[in-house]
Amino acid sequence: MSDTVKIYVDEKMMEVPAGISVAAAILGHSHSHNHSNDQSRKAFHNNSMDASPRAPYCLMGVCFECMMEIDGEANVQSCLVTVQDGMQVKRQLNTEAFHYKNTEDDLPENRRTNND
Amino acid sequence: MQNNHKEYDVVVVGGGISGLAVAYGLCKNNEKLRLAIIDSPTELNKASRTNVGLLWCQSKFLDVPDFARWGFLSCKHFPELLQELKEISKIEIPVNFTGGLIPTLGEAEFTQRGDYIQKLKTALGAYPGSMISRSELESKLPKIKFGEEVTGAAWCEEDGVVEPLLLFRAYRSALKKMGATILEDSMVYDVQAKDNNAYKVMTSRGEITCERLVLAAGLANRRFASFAFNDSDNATNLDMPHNLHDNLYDVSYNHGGLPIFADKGQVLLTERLPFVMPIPLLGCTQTFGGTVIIGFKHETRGHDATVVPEAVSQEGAWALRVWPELAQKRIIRSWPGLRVMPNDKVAIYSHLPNHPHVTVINTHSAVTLAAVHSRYLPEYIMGGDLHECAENMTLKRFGFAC
Amino acid sequence: MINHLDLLIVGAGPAGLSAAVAARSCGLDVGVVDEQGAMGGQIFRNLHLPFGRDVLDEHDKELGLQLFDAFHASGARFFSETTVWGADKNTVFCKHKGKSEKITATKILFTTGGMERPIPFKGWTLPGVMTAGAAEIILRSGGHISADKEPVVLAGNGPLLLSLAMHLIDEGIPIAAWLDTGRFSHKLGSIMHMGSALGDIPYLKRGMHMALRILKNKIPIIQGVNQIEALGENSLEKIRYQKNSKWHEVASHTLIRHENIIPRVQIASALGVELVWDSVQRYWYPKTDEYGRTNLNDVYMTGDGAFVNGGEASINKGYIAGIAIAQDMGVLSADEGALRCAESLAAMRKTCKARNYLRYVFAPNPDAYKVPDETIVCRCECVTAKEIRDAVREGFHTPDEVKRFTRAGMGPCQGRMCGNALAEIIAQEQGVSVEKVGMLRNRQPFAPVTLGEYCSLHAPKI
Repeated sequence: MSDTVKIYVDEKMMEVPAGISVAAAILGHSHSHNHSNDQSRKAFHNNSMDASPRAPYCLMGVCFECMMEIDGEANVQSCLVTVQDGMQVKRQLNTEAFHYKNTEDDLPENRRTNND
Repeated sequence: MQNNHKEYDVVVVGGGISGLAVAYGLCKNNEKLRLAIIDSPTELNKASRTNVGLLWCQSKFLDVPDFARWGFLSCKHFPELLQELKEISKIEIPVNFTGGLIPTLGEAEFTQRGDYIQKLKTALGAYPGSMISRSELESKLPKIKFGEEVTGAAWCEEDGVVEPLLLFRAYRSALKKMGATILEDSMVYDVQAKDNNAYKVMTSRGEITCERLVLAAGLANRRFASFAFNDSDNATNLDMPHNLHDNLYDVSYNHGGLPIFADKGQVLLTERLPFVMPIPLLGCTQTFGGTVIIGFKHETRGHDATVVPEAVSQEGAWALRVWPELAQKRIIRSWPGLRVMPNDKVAIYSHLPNHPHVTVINTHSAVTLAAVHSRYLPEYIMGGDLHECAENMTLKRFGFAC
Repeated sequence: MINHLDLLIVGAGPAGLSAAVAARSCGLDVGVVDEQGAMGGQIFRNLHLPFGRDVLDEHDKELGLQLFDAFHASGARFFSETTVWGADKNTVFCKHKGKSEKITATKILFTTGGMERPIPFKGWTLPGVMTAGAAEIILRSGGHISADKEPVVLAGNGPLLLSLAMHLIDEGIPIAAWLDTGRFSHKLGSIMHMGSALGDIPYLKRGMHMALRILKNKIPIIQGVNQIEALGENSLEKIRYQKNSKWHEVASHTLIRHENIIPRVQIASALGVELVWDSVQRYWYPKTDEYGRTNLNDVYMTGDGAFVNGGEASINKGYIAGIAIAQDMGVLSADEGALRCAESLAAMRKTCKARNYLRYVFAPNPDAYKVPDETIVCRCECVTAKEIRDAVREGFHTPDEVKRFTRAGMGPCQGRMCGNALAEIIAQEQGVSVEKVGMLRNRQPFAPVTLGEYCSLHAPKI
């Protein structure tokens, strides 16, 4: 049994100790001197309301800021998943800031509005 | 408010959507009106806080066409209500008047629903809706991949959906700005007639008197209205023994007192999804928050309001047949609610027997009917007539004299 | 699918593992589930890995290894990466790798432990801001907390900060500043209770040893800090803090924030277990007797999840609960039960009494909850303190009402991160006690579960 496993974060390979969580792997093993490139400080996901960058706060399952796509499943708490060889991990960064209303494109043409 | 004794022209017992709607209408008609709303502590079941906010008139009440008309009338007046509320409260209330859809599964359901709508068309004379095919449904909601069994939908252009909590908040804010008194977290202990034209309401905040009383406390109306049923000779069947097989919720069953019962609903709420539902689907509706509410069940279990996973997952299973992609979406919350259901499902707008200054309001469609409640009920409350659509919605139809 | 158990334990930390050992010693069929990938909870996190062991001091390491050995020898079954999302009478619903299962058991013991007290402050949602526990977990995962041993900043008041500081010193990670938010008056007041600490000399000694190391390493400790801000564009770049009405700044890419530990009460709340308010520590905890019995038949709660007394006490509490459960099932007589837990009971009482003064030392500064208007309180739904205050002024006075009308607490974390602050802010606005305000009402599901899984478990086969 190997002491390390290879996981793929946004398709980039990382070799990390076996037995640790995905979130701990990314936070603890992907540093860079160049702060703006530092993968450990890059958002794990964007918040679904205001699209702000979020990363783990608690690393133990209560803050829900570690959510990532793991092996095709979205919104998985990566701090509760143990790294496995070949695991595909993706940051969820494509959220736009949330609005209450549909855009004009979504609404049917002959709808009534408040002004009718 | 710390006063121990206060006088009002009108007191509204119950600060839910019904109470707020009529209070608003009353204050709008008369800015000098002294009005108070009493609302109980919020741990008690509050139907106004647990609903989806659908503005739904389609496909129901074939046997009571006036009630169907009443619903359509409300949907028609909704835009101006929201505009007024927005101006006074400054609260933006998200709403869609984009129509409504009831999906059908299988051919039989499609035919059945179509027959019902055909009968409605005949009964009402005019009906703003029809059945649409699956491909028409897909073109109305192109971002949803419907399950194989979906055969089409009942479509009605007059329906819509509103954000119910913001509607609630806007009503309250508008009322405060219009000078109404809102007594929150207050219990009503007793209601007594002072003399023919005044009422005493004993509350946890002291005694309140009023000339006219509105009972809009949902299921709690049962106990607040009981003073009128106890001293009247309207209660029948007092000597007859009860039968184990009596259906408590049957129209003909008279257990004395206000003929309303608790109709239990439970919902599941998913995480936020991108907007894919510009027109609301009945039974699994995407809210303005982006989450999807799944639930449409009606159960009669008395006041029991616990979430029963077996029951609510039947609704979930139905939603999965309509919209299979929901299977991967996470449920983040689930809650129950008790609808306020008059025995014959039609609203009750009525003075109480021998008490023309007391009006009781009960309906399970208080969100849809908010517009007509605000617009037309104040007249009846203040001694005038009921709108023609609602003429037969008094307690007379249950055999009470009023 | 596992057979009906005598005892299901939810949470494989010190309390849960110890309870399993105790119950197994009485012959019960025991299963333990944990959402984490391995057993150990927080204090014994990653003890099965070399770097998990290396970080701990000798005393804790021995304690943990002994417990693990006892568990492995006991024959109790352990199911990792298994999240409990629902419960019914004698039943628990859980998911494991995308599939949901139902587990039935005559008795259910919840040992879900504690979490760090979440206190909102400006910028707390920035990447680079984390709890002491999170930093600890990174170390125990063989990782680095900061790039290239860049200095980190500690802020707060609590035991994990102390033990983390020791580990940082061991790793050679510089601490740029230690912002102490504790109230001096609390520390003074705790001296009254210090006397009881003399009942636990080894613990006192360890504390003093830690204090000495901090002094020796010349870590800049700033006392009396009352406001903290984390600043940066996409992640943390610098920290501002206020002391004596003056603002100061320190640059860092890592802010470790800790304000002691509170019990995780979401499951207790959802099941209807009666809750009690601790006015010193300002948290709710489930009402239990010393043996973990709650007001619900067949439901037990113990460990830090019942009251925060630390890992060592949890081992004893768990053991006692395991014996009590065997007794309640009629497997042991009351006399035998008393005999079997005598030692653990005595040790537990001694530990709890000796460390009671810590309740005061590490009491949260209530000013910490005077969250500035623009600060996000509900992280999931981005609800600010101002929105909450506005809702209270509009007449919404309970946490559930404010939740409905602001969305605070409606996100996936179900109020775990914002619930405490929500109640505190409502209490401030209304001028009433936090106890009177109450807390958010939790319901099932305890954790998000997909609609597919939920229905597959519950929908009756037609």
